[in-house]
Amino acid sequence: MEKVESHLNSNPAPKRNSPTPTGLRSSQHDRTVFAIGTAAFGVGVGGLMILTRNLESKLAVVAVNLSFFALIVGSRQLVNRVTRTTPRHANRLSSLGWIGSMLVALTVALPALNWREQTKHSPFALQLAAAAVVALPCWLAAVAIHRGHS
Amino acid sequence: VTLRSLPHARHQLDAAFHSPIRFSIVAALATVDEAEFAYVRDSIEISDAVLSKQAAGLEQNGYVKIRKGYVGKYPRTWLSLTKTGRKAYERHVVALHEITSNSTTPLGSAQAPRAV
Repeated sequence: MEKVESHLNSNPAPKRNSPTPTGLRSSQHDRTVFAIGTAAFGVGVGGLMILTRNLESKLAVVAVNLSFFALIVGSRQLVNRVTRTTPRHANRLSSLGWIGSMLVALTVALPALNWREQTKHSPFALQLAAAAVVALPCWLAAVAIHRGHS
Repeated sequence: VTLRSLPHARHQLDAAFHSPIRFSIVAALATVDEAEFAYVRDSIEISDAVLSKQAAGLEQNGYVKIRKGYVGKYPRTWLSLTKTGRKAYERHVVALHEITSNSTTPLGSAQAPRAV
């Protein structure tokens, strides 16, 4: 008896491009991207603070600030391109992080470094530590975004 | 004094979420702030047309916000739940939990009606 091949079988139909079986909940990739973006922004603010303090030329300071602004816009575009979802509270946490970093830079780190500069030169390690303090709010926000805390 | 039982939890269910597809869309959007149209479509395994129609219906109810924009030169559409939509979804889920938790109670051993 000739065996007739059939395309019909009892297997369930394959799912269409389903990235995860649980839907959007497990968009860990997007959480990671937002977290990296936020952490990098903190590093950027800290780096900007060190750079602008050590640059002599006003033109160079303006150029660095403009570059930083372009970097922010560019990274925002990149995050939009790479991610398909905005994780819950990610935008809010990210905003809190960079507002915190800017506040720490303007009210704590810069005044402290300037006050110290009146008497003695600040070594690079100290400036780096100040930059880390500035970046801290962004890093905390990044951790919260990555863990998915609200 | 009259005896009257509490209104059944089904009265708290939102008619906008009765369709399984709509419920799936809203449930998916509840876990994120915003999601791309294509991602929602793929995640809940429906066609563009179905998602478009259901999302438009939910937008009319004021439950979903549809945002159109560009990433690079490519047009994109993002979906998100509005505050009203999120609250309505939470109420709906609470009502479902209430119904299912009551249904696990054996018949005859249900809570006594409350005196009003």
